[in-house]
Amino acid sequence: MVKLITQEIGSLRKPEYLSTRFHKFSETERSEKAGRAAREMIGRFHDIGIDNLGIAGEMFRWEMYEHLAKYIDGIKFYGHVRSFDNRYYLKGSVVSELNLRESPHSEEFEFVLNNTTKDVKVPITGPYTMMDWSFNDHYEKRDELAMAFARAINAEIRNLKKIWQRSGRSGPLQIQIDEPAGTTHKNEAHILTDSVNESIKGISDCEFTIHVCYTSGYPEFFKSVPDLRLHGLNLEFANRDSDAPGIDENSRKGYVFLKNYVEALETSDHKMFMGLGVVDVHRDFIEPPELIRDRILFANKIIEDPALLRINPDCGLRTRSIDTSFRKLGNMVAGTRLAQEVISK
Amino acid sequence: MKYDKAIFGIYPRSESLRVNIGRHERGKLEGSIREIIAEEKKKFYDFTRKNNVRIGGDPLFNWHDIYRPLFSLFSGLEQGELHRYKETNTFYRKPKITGTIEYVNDPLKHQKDEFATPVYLPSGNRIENFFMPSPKCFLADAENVKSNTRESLLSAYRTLLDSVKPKTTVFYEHYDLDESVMKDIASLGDSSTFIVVTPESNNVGKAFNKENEFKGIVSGNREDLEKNLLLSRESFIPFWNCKKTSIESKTQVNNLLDSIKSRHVDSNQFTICNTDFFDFLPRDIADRKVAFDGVA
Repeated sequence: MVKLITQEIGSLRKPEYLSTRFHKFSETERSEKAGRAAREMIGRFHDIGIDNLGIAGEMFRWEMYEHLAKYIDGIKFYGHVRSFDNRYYLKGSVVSELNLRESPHSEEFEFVLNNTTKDVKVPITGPYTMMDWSFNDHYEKRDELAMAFARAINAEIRNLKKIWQRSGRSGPLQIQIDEPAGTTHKNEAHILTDSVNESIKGISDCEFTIHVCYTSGYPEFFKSVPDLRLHGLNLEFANRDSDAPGIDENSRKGYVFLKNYVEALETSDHKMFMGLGVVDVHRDFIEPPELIRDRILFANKIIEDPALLRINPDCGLRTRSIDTSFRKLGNMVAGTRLAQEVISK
Repeated sequence: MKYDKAIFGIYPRSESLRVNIGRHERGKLEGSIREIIAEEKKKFYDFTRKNNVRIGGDPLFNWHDIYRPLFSLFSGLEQGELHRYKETNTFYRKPKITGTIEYVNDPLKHQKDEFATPVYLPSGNRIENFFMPSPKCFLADAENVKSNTRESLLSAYRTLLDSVKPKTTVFYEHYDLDESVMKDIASLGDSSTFIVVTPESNNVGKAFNKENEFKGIVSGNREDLEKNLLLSRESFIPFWNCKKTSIESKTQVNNLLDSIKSRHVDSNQFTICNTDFFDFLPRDIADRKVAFDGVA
């Protein structure tokens, strides 16, 4: 029997004792508070029974772009720019050659490994997104900048692999390349594939996935999927689906373009599993387990191979309260079990 | 060389305004967000006056994205899913059409919600430089668009503009300009008071100006410049790059205007402007760009 694996995608909201003074803490204080928050999240992940808890909600990181950019020489920060509504991020300006100064994720990774025996997965912001979200005042072309970020990320993955090997854990190290901007330029699919492939070049014994979300460019993305040397795709779907029950196309309109994924696999020389987003991270609506079950069953109807399915939220849940997030994730686990029962019959 | 400046669209919030709006949204702000925004706007107007900005208007500090205020002005709309704005890390709420779009709230009379459409009233009650998303991008980005949506949207726009009677209206179109959208915009009122701005291209044929003359048509594509100048009553010159943090120089503007004067139009009345929002930049960089020539 194939087990449907449930997995976290990314960030959770930080407890106030961490978030309100994140940038004001000394490094020691921040590590201590982030560790306390990560331990609390790990406890809640254990309670709901999720299989892979990611990196425990990214408690050691303030924001996905800034966290990595701050550890790379050649980037200067001038101030915040808007992401959406009143949410902002610190956007860097590339002013000289990029070079990874020190590891941005080692402390967090070691901490999580030391505090859970569950599977973990390290999200790292991808080279295309880092390129796209930076001001470029140095490199002549966008692909040159993306490849420069890719080399920095490659160095970071090698850092994490050393930690993984020291930990004595079995199985491959799981790395998720986050590329929310990956599909925003229709004519730059080659930059996405080349830079993601460069990020993982020459690194073995890892399971590499890519996370893409909130795009109208999935059809184009799936065309480039066969060129990605990855093991899986963790994508957003629930945001565009209806809340109605059912496993027909009308009820599950958000998942219909899984057909593009199946077509992509047919032209690929390697299989890639689908991390199926079944929980909308931008609404407080708690998806009932039955709705989640139906989303999985519909996806399985299209993919016709449960071994190619993993179950996750659409994206990180940091815009929701911690309680809402875990209610959603708890139902995700419960809904997956319901789907598992049906699929196993 | 002599020139004026125009600033279009959403201007970045200051760090303190950003923090205060955050506190307001969490119910933790002591004091009035309206007063804080008003004070920020006052500083902005002082800044633009000092820096020779002829067309500025409201900095739209209240706007979370270009469509948001329409939700409070028009009926038949709801906030839809969060969607990425083109190649940026900026998102907007998709307008979700739920019925016939109608103008229901006058932005001058219904100011109870501090996130309603902001208006710039420098003197008396005449609005200057009203800002609107173009109908084309609104419809392209909306969901659940029906066969009558376009007509009801245009009608709502007409009623709104007829009600507030701005001196100038800026229509922001983040897709290409084409004959169809220009005709739609021209149908909304006196096109000689309209400025149409796009970061993309202008695909409008030259024959268009025989029917309608706009105050300004500006596109981010420099190859469109000659065509845009022919179609416009005033000479708007895209200058500031809102996707780069490097600050433009006096030499750059002089070279650009010299080149335009020799190749395209013999004018002494140029207005340099942006075609993308300054909101894509940190506030400090936006301010430094606007003040690049030290005119103040």
